[in-house]
Amino acid sequence: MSPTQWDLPVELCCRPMAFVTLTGLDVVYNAVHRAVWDAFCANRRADRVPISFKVLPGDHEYPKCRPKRTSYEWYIPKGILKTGWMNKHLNLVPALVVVFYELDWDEPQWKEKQSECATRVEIVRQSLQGRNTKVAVVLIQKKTPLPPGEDVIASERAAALCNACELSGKSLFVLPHTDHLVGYIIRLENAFYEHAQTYYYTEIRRVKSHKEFLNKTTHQLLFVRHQFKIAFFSELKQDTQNALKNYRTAYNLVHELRAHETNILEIKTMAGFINYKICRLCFQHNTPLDAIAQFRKHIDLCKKKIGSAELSFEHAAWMSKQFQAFGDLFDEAIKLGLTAIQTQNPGFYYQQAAYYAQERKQLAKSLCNHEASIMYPNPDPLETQTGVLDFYGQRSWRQGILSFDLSDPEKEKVGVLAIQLKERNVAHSEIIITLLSNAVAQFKKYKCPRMKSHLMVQMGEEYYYAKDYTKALKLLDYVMCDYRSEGWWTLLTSILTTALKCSYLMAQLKDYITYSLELLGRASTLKDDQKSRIEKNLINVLMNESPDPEPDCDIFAVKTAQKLWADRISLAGSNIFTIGVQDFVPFVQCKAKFHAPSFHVDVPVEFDIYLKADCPHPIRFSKLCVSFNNQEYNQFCVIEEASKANEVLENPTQGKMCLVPGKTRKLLFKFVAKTEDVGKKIEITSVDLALGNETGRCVVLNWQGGGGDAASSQEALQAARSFKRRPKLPDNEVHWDSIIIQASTMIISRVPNISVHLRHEPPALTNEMYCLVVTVQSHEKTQIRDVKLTAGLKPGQDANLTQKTHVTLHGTELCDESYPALLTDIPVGDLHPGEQLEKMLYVRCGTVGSRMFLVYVSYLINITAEEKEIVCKCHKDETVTIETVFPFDVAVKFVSTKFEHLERVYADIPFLLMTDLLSASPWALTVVSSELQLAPSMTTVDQLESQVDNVVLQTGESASECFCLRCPSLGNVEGGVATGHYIISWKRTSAMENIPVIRTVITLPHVIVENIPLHVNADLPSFGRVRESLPVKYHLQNKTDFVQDVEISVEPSDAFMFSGLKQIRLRILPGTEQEMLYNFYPLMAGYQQLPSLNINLLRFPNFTNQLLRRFIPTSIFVKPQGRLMDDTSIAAA
Amino acid sequence: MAVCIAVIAKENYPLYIRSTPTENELKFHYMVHTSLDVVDEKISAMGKALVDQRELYLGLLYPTEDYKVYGYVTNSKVKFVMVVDSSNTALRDNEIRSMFRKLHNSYTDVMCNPFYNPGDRIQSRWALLPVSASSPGGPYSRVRIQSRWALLPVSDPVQVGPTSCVRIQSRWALLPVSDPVQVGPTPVSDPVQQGL
Repeated sequence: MSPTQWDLPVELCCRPMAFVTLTGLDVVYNAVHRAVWDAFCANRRADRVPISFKVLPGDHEYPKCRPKRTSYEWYIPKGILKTGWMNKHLNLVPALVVVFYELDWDEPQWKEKQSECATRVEIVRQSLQGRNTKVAVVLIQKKTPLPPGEDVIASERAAALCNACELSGKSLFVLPHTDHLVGYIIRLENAFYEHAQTYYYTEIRRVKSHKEFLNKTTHQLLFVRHQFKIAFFSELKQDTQNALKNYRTAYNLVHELRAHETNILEIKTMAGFINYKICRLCFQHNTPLDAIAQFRKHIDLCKKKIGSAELSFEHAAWMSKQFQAFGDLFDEAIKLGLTAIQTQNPGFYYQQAAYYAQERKQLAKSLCNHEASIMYPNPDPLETQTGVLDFYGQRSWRQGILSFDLSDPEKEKVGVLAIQLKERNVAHSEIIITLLSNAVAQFKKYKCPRMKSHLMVQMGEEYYYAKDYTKALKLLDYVMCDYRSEGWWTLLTSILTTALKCSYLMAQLKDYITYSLELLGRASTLKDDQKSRIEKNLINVLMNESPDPEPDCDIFAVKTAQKLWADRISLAGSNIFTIGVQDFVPFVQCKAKFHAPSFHVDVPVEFDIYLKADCPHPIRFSKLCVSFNNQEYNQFCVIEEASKANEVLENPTQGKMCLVPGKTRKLLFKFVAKTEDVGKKIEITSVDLALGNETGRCVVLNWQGGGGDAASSQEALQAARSFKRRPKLPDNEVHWDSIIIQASTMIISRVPNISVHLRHEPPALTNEMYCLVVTVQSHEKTQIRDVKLTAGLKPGQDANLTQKTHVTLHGTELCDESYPALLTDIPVGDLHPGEQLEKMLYVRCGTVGSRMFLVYVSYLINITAEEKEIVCKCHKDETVTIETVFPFDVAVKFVSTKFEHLERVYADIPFLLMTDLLSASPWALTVVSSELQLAPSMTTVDQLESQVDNVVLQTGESASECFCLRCPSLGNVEGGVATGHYIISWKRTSAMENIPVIRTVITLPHVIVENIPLHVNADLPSFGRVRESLPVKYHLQNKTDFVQDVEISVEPSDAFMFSGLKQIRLRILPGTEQEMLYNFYPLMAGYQQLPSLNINLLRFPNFTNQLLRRFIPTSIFVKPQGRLMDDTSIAAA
Repeated sequence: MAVCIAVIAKENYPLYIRSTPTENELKFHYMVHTSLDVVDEKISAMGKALVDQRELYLGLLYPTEDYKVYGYVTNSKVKFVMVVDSSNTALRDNEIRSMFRKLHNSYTDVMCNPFYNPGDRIQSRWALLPVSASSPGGPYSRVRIQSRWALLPVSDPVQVGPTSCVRIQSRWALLPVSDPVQVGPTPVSDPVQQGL
C-alpha cells in the first residue's frame, strides 16, 4: 500500500488516445528513420490527430490474447475491473502496427525485397495472433513518386506487394523521403487514425457481442466491466458522446451491485473512477452543470457507504479524494476557459476535501491508537505476489473472493491491523494543509476574503497540530486583524488562544505577551477563570519567570517549551518589549484629554490621562510617559515609581500606579508651555505605559496620539449614538465612554490687560486726511515694555483698497501714493501701570466704500507662572470699519441765456454753465474756494470769479455757481468739445487750521457744439408797462459764408400793438448783421406773449422757427400803469 | 428548523448570533462570517436599484455538505443569516422567506425598544430567539422607567431603515403613554419560535 493508494491511477486521468506502434524504424543509427520518427513526435499540437505512437522492434511480443470464451455459463468473474486493463489498451495493445520498409519502385532486387517485407509483416501478424489489430506497410522511398497512374511499374509492383503481404491496397503507403516530410507524415497520420478508429469500432462491437451471453445473477460484475470497456474504447475512438453515455450506464450499474462490507471498497473505487470519467467528459463538453450534478449525485450515493467501521478512515480518505479530484477537474476546466463564480468554484471542493481529510485524521487517531508493542504483522498481509492487486479496490489478502462471508476471520483481523498501522504513518496534516492551501488560492481568486481567512485559520491550526508552530503563528497572525477589524470577537478569541499556545510552545516572548494582552482585553470572550490564569502567567513572565503551560497542549511539546522558557530566563539581553497597541485590543485602555482646546501661555497646560484595565485582577504599572510633538515637554509628563518587580501584586489597590479592573484611573499632568510655542499646536504623539520592571521584563504599551486601539473608534461611535443615561458615579469618577480624546491643544498668547480706544468722526470723506485718535491705557500691575503700535488697513482685503488707502502720522501734509496702507511697529515706548497714551493717525482714502482698519498694540511683560519667570508678549487689537463717502455731489448743466436747458450749444453763441455743489457729508464742509479751468476750446464771456468762496455747507445744503461761456465754431467735433475742469478746494469745517485743504477736481462734461446759419437775438427791456412804448430790436446775424435770403413776418398778439415791418424779405450778407426795430405797445398787464417773429430762410428749408425761438424771448412781463408813476410823469410833463 | 440565526450589523460585526447545537458554536460563527463574502457581493451587485424594487431576501448564499446558508438584508444594510440543515427538505424557499420576515419583525421590535441603542450587540437572549419560557417579561417591564420613555425622542432615523422608521412611528403613536404593560417588545408568542 503506497501512500498514494487513494490517488486515481494515471491511466484513468489521462486523455485516451489511439495507440499505434511503428516497427522497422532504426531511430538510433539511421538518420532518415530518426527524421521520420521526429516528424511523428514533434509538434503534437491540438490540430494533429490524437494518436500515441511508440517505436517497437518488428518482432516485439504483444500481450497474448486469451482464447475466446465460447460460453459464459460457468464463468464467474472475480472482480469488476482488472488493474492492468486500461494500461494494456493505452500502451500495450496497438490499434495499428505499421511496418516501415525501405523500398523504391525501381529496386533492382525487387523480388528479394518484396519477400523480406512480406516476412516482416508475417512476423508482426504472428505476434498479434488473435487480436483485431490492423497492420499497415509504409515504404520509405528515396525518389519523389510520379503522379498516380503515370508510373506503370509502381502500380504493378504495389499490387504485387499487397498480394505478397496479404494487405489491402488501403494499408500500403509510400513515404518519399524528400523535402516535404512533415506534410507526408501528417497525411500518413490521418490514414493511421482512420485505421485505428476502425479497430476500436470492432473492439466495441466485440465487447457488445458478449452481452447476450450474460445473466443477471452471476455476471453482475461483468455488466459493469463491459460497459466500462465500451465507454473506454469509445474514448479511444474519440467518440466522447458515446463514451459519456456508456460511462453513465456503467455508473448506474455499479450502484446496482449488491454491496457488502467486503466489496464496498471495490464498488466505491469503481464508482469513483466512472464518476471521474463522467465529470471529466462533462467538463470537456462544456457542460459544467452536468458535471456538478453528477458529482453531487455521486457524493449523495456514496456518502453513507462507509464500509467497515474499523477502517472508516478509509472512507474519509476516499471522500476527500473524490472532492479533490473534482476540484482538480474543475480547476483544469477553468484554465481552459470555463468561468466559475463566487458560490461555485473549485475552492469549495478543496475545502470539503480538506474537511474529509480532517475527519480521516480524527478517525485514524481514534482507530489507530494501538499500543507501541503491537508489531506490524509478518508476513505482510498487504503484500501480493505481483506487488499489485489484480482488481481495483479489492483487499490483498482475499483477492478474487466474492463471498460475503469472511472465510478466514483471523486473516481479516491481521489485514485490518496492517492497514490501521499503515494509516498511523500517514502525514495527515500535510494532506490537509495542501488541500486547504489549494482552497485558499481559489477563494482568493473568487473574492471570498472571509472564506480565505477562515481556511487560513484552519491551516494555522493544522500546522499547530503538526507542531510547526512558526508557520502556524505566521498564518494566525496574518488573519487576526481581519477578524479584529470586523469585530468578530468570538472568532478572534479562538484564534488568539491557539496563537498563545503556539507562542508558549516556542517561548516567543513578545508574541506571548501580545496575545496575552489581547486575551485579557475587552475583545476577548474568555471566561474570567481563563483570564485570571492568563494574567497570572503574564505577571510571571514580567517577573522573568516561566509561565504555566497552556491547557490542551501536547505533553512532549510542553516539556520542550519549559526548557526553552528556562533558557529564556538565563538569557541576558534586551528584556524591554515595546508593543504598539493601535493594531490590537489590549487589556489597558488609554485616553488623553487636554482640559481645553487652547491654553494661554501664562497658565500651565493641563491634561488628564485616563487609564482603564479590563483584566480580572488589579495590575500595577511601573511607568507612564507622554510624548509630545515638542519633545522638551516630555520630561514634565512622566510618572515613575521605583517599585521592585515582586511588588507588582502587593498592595494592589493602593497608589496611583495601580489599575483596578473596570475603574477609570485619572492622572493629571501639568506643565508650562514655552513662549516660543505661542500660536503653535501642542500634540500628544504617544503615550507609553510600562508594565513590569526593567530588572525583570518590561512591556511598554505604546499608544499613538491620545490613545485608542483597534476597537476604540467603533466604541466611541456607539457611545456617541447612545442616548442611555449613565448611572451616577461618585465625584471624581467618570464614565469611560464619556471621555473624548483630545490629543492636541493650542498655545495662545496671554490675555492683554490694556485698553485700546479709537476716537474718530465717521464717515471718512474721499481724499480727506481722516483723523483717527488711538488711546492706549495700561491696566497691568507692572510696567509694560516695548509697546508697539501697528495701524492701518487690515491686511487681507481687496488689493485695490491697499492702493487707494494711505496712512500717516502727520496730518499737516497731504499724503501721496508713496505712503503705506499699514504702518507697522511704531514704537511707543514703555507704559507704567495706569498710564495712558494717545496717538493720532491720519488716513487718506482715495475711493469710496467701507474699509476695515486694524489697530494692534503689542507689548512685553514679565510674568511669573508656576514659579517660573517668563516674558510674555501680549497684544491687543481693535478693528474698526470706516465708510468712505463723497463729501459732495457736483451737478453741472448747460443752459441758454434764457436759462433753458441746452442739449447742445451753438457756435459763437453765449451759453451758461451752472455748477451745483450738494453737500453729502454729515459734517459741515467749508468750501475754501472754487475755480473753473476752461479748456482751450472754450472762452469766457465775462470774468471767471469764484462765487462760493468760504461758504460753509451743512448736510444737504448746496452751493451753485454760474458762468457765461462761449464756444467758437470748431466745425463738427465727434463726441463733443471738452469744457474744462471745476476745482473745489475744501475741508471739514471742524478740521484744525493746519490740516491741508483738499482740492477736488471735477472734469466737466463735454458738450456738443452745433453751427447755425442764422442767429437772432433780441434787445428788449426787462419788463414793459401798459400803454408805454416798448422798443425791441432784433439782431439777425448771418453765420454762414453765403448771402441769405430771409423772410420775416410778425404775427400780431392780442396783448400788444406794434409798429415796424410786419412782413419783409431781405438779404443779409455773409458775416453781417441786420437789425430790425419794433416798437411794441403793451395793452394788458401780466406775463404776456410777445408778437412772434417768424423767420424763414429760403436757403435752409430745414431751419425752423422753433430753433430761432430759443434765442429770442417769447413773452415779457408787463407791469400795470402805476399811479405814482403817472403822477410823476404828469408832473414831469 | 434553523440551526443558526445571526443578525449582522451594517459594519459586518455580529449583533446577535445563536445556534441550537451549542457544542460547536464556533463552526457556525465561522460559517456565518464566511457567508458575508457572498452577502457583500450580492449587495454590491444590487447596486443602486430602486429602494422599493429591492428584494431583501438574498436567497441561498452557499451550500456546504451539511448545511444551507440563507441571507437577507434590510434596507439599513443589517444582514440576517440563517443556517439550515441540508437534510431538512421541508424548508423550501417560501418557508425560509417567511422565517426571515418574522425575524425582521422581531428585529424591528428590538429597534423599537427605546432602551436599545442601535449598533449595540443584542444582549437579551429572548429578543429574537426564545430560550425558555422562564424569561420574565424582560428588563423593560420595570415600573421605574415607565414615565421616562415617553420623553425620549424617536430613535435616530439614520440608524434605522426606512421601513422600521415608519414602524416605530406608528408604534409610538399607538402606544398609550400611561399604559405600563405595552412598553418594550411585548412577550408575544415569538415568531421565530414557530420557525424553529
